[in-house]
Amino acid sequence: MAVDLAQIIPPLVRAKVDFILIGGMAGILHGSARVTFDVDLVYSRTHENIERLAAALAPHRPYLRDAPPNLPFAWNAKTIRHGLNFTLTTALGDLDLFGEVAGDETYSALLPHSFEVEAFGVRFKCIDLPTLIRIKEAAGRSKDREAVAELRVLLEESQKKEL
Amino acid sequence: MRSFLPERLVTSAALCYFAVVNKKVANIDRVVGYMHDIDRTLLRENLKLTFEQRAQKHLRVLQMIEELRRAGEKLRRKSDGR
Repeated sequence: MAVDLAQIIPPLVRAKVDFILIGGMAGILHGSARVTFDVDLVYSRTHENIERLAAALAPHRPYLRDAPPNLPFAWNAKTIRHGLNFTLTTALGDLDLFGEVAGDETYSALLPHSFEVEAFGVRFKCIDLPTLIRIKEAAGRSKDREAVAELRVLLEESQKKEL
Repeated sequence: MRSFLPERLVTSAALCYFAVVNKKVANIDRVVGYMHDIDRTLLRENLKLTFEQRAQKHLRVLQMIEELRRAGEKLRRKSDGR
């Protein structure tokens, strides 16, 4: 199922969930020409935000991606509190939720490195390009090397455009 | 000054340190190498678009990939006689 940012982001914003778009989709918003099949979000781990996140996603039937069916998995605030990072499949597409990325980067640590995007009729936070590069580099995955190279070129091109 | 740590331990620690540093340098070299192969024309075209237009363009690509997947599956089913 093709994941559509226009379907996933607005319900979360309307439910006042605190999150930052990271990963490949953030790369797309920065101008990447690579294809990505899921949405990656860093979410705030405050009690209230976890409640809001659980309620906002519940109608879209989140379930653990690639897990056997009929597992005793319940999507609610308790599950989120007991976990940290979730790779989910939902009725809106695949969604990865991160309480932390690259070791210890939380929502509040990344907040100063995000900016507001206005799209799909809402405003939401997206990670800035230098930080996206840093996160991908810190992950140290070989599959990310080409993506990092492209993001570095994008940074060069955007800086040239600004001059 | 004589170290109070066994020489073998110091040597292993130094080797580990240089292996980590070398790996990082090798990774950076590889990324820089990949940068030469990136098609900048595609990126420059994307940079002319708004955030929303970039997301919509990506969605159209995803939908096309899905369509191709479905066509491939249909073709395979046909050739399998299913």
